[in-house]
Amino acid sequence: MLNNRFILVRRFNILLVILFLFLLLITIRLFWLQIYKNDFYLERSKSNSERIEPIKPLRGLIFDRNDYILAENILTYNLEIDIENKSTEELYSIIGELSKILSISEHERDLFFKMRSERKFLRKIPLKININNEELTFFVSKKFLFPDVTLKEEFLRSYKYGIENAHLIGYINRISKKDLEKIENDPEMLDDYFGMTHIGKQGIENSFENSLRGKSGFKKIRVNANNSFIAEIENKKALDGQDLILSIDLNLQKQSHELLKNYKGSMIMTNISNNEVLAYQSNPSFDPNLFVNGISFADWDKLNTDPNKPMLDRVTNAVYPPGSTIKPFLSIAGLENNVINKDYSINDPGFYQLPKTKKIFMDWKKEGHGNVNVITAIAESCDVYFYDLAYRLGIEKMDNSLRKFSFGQKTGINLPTEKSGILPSPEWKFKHHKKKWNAYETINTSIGQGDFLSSPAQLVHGLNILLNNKQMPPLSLIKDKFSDVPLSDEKITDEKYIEIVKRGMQEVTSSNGTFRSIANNNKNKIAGKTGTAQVFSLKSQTYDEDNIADHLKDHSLFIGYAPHDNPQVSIAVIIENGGHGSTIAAPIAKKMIDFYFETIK
Amino acid sequence: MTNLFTFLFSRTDKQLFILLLIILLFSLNLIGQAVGFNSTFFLKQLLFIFAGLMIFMLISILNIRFLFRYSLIIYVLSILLLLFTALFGTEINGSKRWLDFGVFKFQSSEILKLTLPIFLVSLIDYFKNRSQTLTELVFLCISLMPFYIILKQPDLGSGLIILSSGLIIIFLNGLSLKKILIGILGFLILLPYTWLNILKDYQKGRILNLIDPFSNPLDGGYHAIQSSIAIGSGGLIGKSSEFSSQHDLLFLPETHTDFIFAVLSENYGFLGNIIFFLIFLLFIYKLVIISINLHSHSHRLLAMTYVMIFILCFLINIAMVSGLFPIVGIPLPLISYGGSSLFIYLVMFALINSLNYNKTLIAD
Repeated sequence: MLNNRFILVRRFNILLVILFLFLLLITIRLFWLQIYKNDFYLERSKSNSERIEPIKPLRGLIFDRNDYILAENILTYNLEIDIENKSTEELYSIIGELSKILSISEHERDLFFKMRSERKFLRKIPLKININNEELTFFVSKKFLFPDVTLKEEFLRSYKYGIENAHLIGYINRISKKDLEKIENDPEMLDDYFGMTHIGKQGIENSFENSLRGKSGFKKIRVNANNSFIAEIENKKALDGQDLILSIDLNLQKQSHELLKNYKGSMIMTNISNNEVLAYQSNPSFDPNLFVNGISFADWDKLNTDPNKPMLDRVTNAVYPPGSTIKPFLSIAGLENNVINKDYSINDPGFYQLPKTKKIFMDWKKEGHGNVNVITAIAESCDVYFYDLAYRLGIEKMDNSLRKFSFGQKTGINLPTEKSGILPSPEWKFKHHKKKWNAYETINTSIGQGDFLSSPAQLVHGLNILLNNKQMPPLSLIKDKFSDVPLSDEKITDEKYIEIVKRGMQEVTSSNGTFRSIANNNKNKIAGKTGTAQVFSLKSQTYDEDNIADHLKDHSLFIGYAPHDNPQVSIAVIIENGGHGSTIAAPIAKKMIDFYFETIK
Repeated sequence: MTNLFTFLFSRTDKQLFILLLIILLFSLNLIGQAVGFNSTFFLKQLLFIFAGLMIFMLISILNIRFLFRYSLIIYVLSILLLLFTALFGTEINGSKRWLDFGVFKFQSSEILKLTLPIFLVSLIDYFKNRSQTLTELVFLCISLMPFYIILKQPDLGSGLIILSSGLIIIFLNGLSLKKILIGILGFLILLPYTWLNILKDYQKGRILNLIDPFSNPLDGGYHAIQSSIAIGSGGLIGKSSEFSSQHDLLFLPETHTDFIFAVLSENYGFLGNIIFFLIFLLFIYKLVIISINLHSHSHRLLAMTYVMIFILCFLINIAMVSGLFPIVGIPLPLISYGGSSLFIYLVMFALINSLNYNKTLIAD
């Protein structure tokens, strides 16, 4: 046994030295943390306690021209789950517990997880949107069981008369992966959309997204470790979206919906003097409210597989052969190129033989129209007259004239899916089919067939140009919005040609015209032009209206305006597979015009 | 009354006592900053300090020779207390370490810090004429018994402190270099076995967190990260008021107990830490001088062991809070909130003080 004080003290000192070295090591560590890495840890300490919360702007409201609300924001209560640092299993169990007290559909759950995987910068994700009052009170009473579930007051987009305005207003929907890519590539957009969940997808909601949306603000707050609010550091107010007042008239929308409800088709009614759209209707329609919070798969499937294509906007996104509605425009082409004049007439035997060939083109009226001039040709829709006109005019001159009426070009209406249609020409054909133009195609074009395609919006736009005899601003959906681009007042053709053609269209509704059924019942002095567009090119078969499959029946068209002595409103109507223009489309247009004059008084 | 105080003070080392008071006042200040100066924790700690100082005074005036005489009984009672805790103790966070006395909970393993060294030191005379190896093996076994019970509570940190108090005595008593090397070798061989079979997952996790705290930020790594942030953001002279502190916002829990050093570092910075270290070094220096100058070998050995335990716990706590050491539940001696730990250390210093005062009276 070493009982020696010297050894004991030496051993004690050894331990003291070791521990002192340990203390030195600790001091170095503290120097590293507090002096060398001070900035880093200060920053960490700051970010520990700072949270940025988005302040969402209110989306602009959409009104009709008489201030009836078409798209509004209604206050709803949503259930949100704080997903930060939670695994999928934890979230499933929270949702499982919630579904014991509230009904949570599979669809809602799927949407929740979809959003969680797509939106990396969101902390809270909505699970159940717009819970009803009963569920609200029930949840509030059990809230203490769900520390991570919060009740969020949120404005939900709601479309009043959604079905009546579906194609026009469109809808908003949750921001998709594709939208997000676009947003994230633009830092300014990323700020504007901070914390937002929805974006305009279709119609006006899409094309006016930037002004309707507004800009997100944010609130920088200090929280403690329990996420309880301590203080506000910074507050940037959100900029609410701008309201839109449309040129559209809700009453006309309702009426047009009513008139079209048994048909596949569309109509557009405009104010002739300023090209403002008053009614914009496509049928069948759908309920845009279904989309606002992510449409369910069943609903989506139903809309997409419906053979009547309810999602198709038949006003601007569908193009049809214009058929005989092209004839007034073609008349202008003939008159201004001196191929015909007011008095020029031909004899129509019921067919036309293309010169230097044996090719025969039939008139729709087998026995022929007899002696016709330009006015009677329009009124009776004489095909042979226009075959002859087109042949003598030639395709180039014909195209040059028709282009002035905006055929083959977009009208510039502010909607996302407008199609330009096709104004056939030798260049167009060579570009798309690598084939040379044939003379008979000129003949087909003259009656709005062949490759000729235009949308109802284009037809009404062309008609407005004709009636005003000048270039028109793009079709406008906004009330009293004047085009920024000054348009020249230069007449596009001699006024007297316009008068001749208008006279022809006026005769359409006379006792000799194709729409003579209203000859004695035309108090609003409607003028116009009927059209029947072949869907199916008849070769050897004869067209038997009663025994042909519905989808192969002719499209029924009508373009018109009223009153003919002082044109105020113009209209284009198309009824798919409706048969003759005079029997379906024209009467609908008349009812619409009559309704217009009834209601504005 | 005045005479009583004069009597008490006359038997204490003045410098040691003043340093002790400074440290305790500093502790109160830090606890106040951590949990608020009007919180019950602060008031209770004030009460503990007051009671602890009374105990310090009382023990200081005792001639503690009798402790050595009854050391076996004291040791057996301590072991029984541990077993009693294992049976009837209060379970907190899955471990049974505390005996609930209503006013405060006593951590029974703390008492072994006092009693194990007393028992071992008292045996030195008994084993005077036996072989050194036998003595060392017996000492090891005596130390391993409480270690095993505490390990089962489970409380690895306290267990290791108790075990090391035994090892320190064996070392100070002249363990040969050969045996030290054999011991280290044995430890290294047993290490993989320990890792695989003895350590629990959460304990392994804490050790792994040391290497990379951010690998598991939510679980064990949370404390390590938050306490590093608290210390690091303190800078040279402490965090300015424009930044909110980690502990005010509750990001770092348990700041008044095991993580009190983080509050010190955050509020007073590197400079504050250095001053704090200097005060402690002065206090330790005082204890070391007293210990070395005690007159009997066993007294010196006991005092030195106590001083070692004190320094060891002090360093381990700071190493743990600053991320150099796994998180083991060892409080900062004299500073952390809590009665058990405070009383034990005050009794330790009182015993050293008493040995010092009575050294002339005790025949060597």
